[in-house]
Amino acid sequence: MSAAALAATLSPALRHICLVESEQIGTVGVGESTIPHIRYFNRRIGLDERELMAQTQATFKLGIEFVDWARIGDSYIHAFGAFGTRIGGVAFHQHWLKRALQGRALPLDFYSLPIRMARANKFALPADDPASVLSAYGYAFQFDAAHYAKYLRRFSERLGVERIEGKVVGVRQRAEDGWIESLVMENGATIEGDLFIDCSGFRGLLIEQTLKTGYEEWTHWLPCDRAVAVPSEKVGPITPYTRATAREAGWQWRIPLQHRTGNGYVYSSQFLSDDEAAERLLSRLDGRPLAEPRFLRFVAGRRRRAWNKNCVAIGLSSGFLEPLESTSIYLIQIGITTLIDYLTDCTFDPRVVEAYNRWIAMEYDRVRDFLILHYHATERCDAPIWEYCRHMAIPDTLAHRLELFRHRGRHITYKDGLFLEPSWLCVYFGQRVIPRAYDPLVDSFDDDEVDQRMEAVRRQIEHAVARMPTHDEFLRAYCPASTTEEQPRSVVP
Amino acid sequence: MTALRRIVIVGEDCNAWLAAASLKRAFGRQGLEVIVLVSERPAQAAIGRWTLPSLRGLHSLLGINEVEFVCRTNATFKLASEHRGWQHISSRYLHVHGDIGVQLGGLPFYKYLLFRAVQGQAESPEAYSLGAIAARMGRFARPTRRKPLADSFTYAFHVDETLLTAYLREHAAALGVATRCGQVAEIAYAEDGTITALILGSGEQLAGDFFIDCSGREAVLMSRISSTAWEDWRAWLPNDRALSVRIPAVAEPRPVTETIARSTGWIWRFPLAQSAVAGYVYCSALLSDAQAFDELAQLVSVDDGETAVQRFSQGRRQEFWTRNCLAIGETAVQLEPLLGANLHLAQIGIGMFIELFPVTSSCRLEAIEYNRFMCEQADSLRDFTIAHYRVGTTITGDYWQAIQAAPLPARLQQKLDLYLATSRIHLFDNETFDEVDWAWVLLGSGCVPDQVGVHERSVLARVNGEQVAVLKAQIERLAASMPRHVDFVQQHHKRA
Ligand SMILES: Cc1cc2nc3c(=O)[nH]c(=O)nc-3n(C[C@H](O)[C@H](O)[C@H](O)COP(=O)(O)OP(=O)(O)OC[C@H]3O[C@@H](n4cnc5c(N)ncnc54)[C@H](O)[C@@H]3O)c2cc1C
Repeated sequence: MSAAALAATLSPALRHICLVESEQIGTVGVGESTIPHIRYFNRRIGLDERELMAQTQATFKLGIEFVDWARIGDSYIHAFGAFGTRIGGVAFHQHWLKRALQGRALPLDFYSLPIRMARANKFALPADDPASVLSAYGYAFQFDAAHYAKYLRRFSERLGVERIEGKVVGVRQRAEDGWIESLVMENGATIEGDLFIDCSGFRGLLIEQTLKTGYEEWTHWLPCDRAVAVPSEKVGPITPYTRATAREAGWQWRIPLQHRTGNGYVYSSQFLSDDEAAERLLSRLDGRPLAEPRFLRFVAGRRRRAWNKNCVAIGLSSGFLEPLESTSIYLIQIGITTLIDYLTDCTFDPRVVEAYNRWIAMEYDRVRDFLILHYHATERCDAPIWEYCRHMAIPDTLAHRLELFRHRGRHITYKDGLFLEPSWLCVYFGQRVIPRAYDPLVDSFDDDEVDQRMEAVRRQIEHAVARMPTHDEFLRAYCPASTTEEQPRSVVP
Repeated sequence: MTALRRIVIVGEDCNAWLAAASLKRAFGRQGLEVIVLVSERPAQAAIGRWTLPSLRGLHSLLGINEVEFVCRTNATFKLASEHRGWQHISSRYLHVHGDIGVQLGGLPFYKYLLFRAVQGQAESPEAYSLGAIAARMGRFARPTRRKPLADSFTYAFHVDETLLTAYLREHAAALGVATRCGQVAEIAYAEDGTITALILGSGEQLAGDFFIDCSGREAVLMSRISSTAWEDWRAWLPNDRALSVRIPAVAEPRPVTETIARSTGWIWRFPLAQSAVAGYVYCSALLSDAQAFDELAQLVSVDDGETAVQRFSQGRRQEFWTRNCLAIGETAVQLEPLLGANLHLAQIGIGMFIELFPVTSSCRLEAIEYNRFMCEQADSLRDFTIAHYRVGTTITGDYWQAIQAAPLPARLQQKLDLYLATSRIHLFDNETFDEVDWAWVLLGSGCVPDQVGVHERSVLARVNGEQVAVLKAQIERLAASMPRHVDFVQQHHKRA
């Protein structure tokens, strides 16, 4: 992603982009569920969405279904879209809340188009008219990340990126200030550069092993540190959403692609052994496994400085937040697009580096808080991990946010960073964080009038969903998986 | 029924009436009672003020008719501020309430100007702004979507303070706000420290569930509640006096607030429909009131006009909301009027209080959230004010040098650092002013960044100069077709 974005947006200003990777080492190779921002990325660098989907076995994603999180038996969808629209300047959920607290509300889900679409396994592209309810949602993809990488590789190479296969065995640093001068390859070759982007994954070959930047660890808030992944045979219908099911020591993901389903169990090694995790995962697949389970280890946290000297860490080298909300690719995207926005030359002004690091840290911190909410806002006491999470101390930023929502359903907005009000609302309500009171302004409205407007929204959504094709039908017509590797048809940015 | 049944507001400036009217309008239907306690000796206010465009949003919120508002407050329109002498003796630039140019290659137009400025071809943004050209020509019309570019600006007002206060008071009364007269002699508290009643000089008790302190600098309630520490901004903003005088109407009033930097502060001037107002904001340690008056008299004709002097000390309360007492206006924040944002800040404060209107008798969480939000708002206004003194300035003298020497607040430093290094203007959460407002000030003051980002450079290098020239001509034509500001104003006053 980094090479493609740099090549697409900065050439010819950048003289030469060289990407080093080693087949011997390989990639993490999981990571198949995305969030809608990826579409901005694709558009910014000029990728054709339909072709991309066909090339990556992609399916549409309207959100994530969370199963068994607050209580066993619960299910909610965090969808990419809002509940209703503001009524009289007051948030829709506040009007709903009044009715819910009076015991006369329909489920909140009835007022979310993408949730209703997901529950019905339907899909259609959002309407163009911003005033229409039918435009008030976004979508992302569930795709084969290895294919996406290959696709971006072809795209990048066509734009002049030089790809070097081989293993980096040494790093040369400038004596006076420790800046990286060159990489030494296994075959003895050296690669010089002005700026080194470290996409080496968890190991942080440059940012950590070389520059010793340091890591801020968040295991006390996000205790999972392992994952085991396995693909399985596809079972129909293909859901336009990812599923995350809370388990005895973490949670299990299910990501449907066109040709197969991706599965994994993210768990805490403190509460479950690897063998048990694999066994549990395999016993809970809905299709035949297609490969041996793969194990991964990680530590939740973030690199203290994503940009250090002339090295910028992007991807897993910059930190790790578990894939519960599919945010890793987003964080890669933010890392690279922010870098592109901030680059002026190769002197790497410390004022710019500081601003970049502040930005990336803010992004990580906000995602972190959102993830912690899922673990913390639970009533489960059937397993030690849930007991722990329910009682753990949470970051102050989240504590205040959560308390205020519980108190009166008020969401605190921020300008930058991921996850807007609709996302927080889905998770609060889904995790049974039910406010004790609603916004008093609601009482200044006429009840019948508001009831009618709410009902109109519900009916509009119901009708819209009824008319939509199923997700399977839509995929077949729109982007059936291609059997040949196309040269990317890039749209000039 | 609301959790609070009765709110008592102490004060009688326009903030007090604004708060009263807004609350009554939001919750009156639910039976909320709002009482304003006016004293027999109101603090002296400035003779006039300039506002921000956001005031128009308030009109619709309060059900105020704009034409009526303009007539009743003797108002004129404001397209821009003109800052003269802030960089050097002959510098002048406009900060317009509106766009600069149109987007180019997905980038804001001001980037193109910065790109050219970095290459040594600096140019004023004014030629590319309809609001600016109209302001310079003394023309005005309301923005409209009917023609391209004709909605590329917005506007604010110059108003007569006494008339504004009277108008809002009348409006509040019409909405059912009650008024009492008296001085607060003592405060009665409950065990937990919440206020239960105000005991007036007459011995009468004025009970309430919640109290809003709009008493200005005096902070009648807030000053008596412990733990309401004050954050001092004087190292950056040493001015502590504001003199204002009414002056004769000017012949061809422009829709512009003028400010003129002086050796110990700045002088301002704007037109009203029947007269005009001028003033001097300065630092009393370096300039006496009499000296200030003389200096002002050299610039404008102040003969036997009405005058007013206000004292203040720039800074803010650390908590605007403590238990069941809220500070609005100068009780909460004292900031010189350079930005014309004081009424705006009060408006935001009232709006946020309505959004966080207590749901139970305890409002601890609401107060925490309110204070977090309002402090960010206030600090960002402080920062933007400070920026006017710090960017591109070459003025010497004790006053200016002391201001230049104070280390900047961290967020402002970060903002200027990033701007200077990359030309990016970064906004934090909860800022009133937009990227384009900063662009007006930064470009206008000649504060050119070291560099424009590589990516933006490559986009901007492709901009076609002809397209830009066409834009300029189009804006000039459009501005020339607008009515004269003076006619527009007089027509309003005739219509009423
Ligand atoms: C369990 C799990 C589930 C995930 N699910 C999602 C998801 O649903 N959605 C999402 O957005 N993200 C997800 N992610 C994250 C996603 O997998 C990663 O963000 C993505 O794979 C990118 O990783 P990377 O490129 O940073 O590191 P890697 O994939 O580890 O790539 C490292 C690269 O560096 C090269 N390299 C390393 N060392 C050397 C060397 N010495 N010499 C030469 N080359 C070297 C390797 O060859 C490789 O190409 C998940 C991650 C995990 C662990």
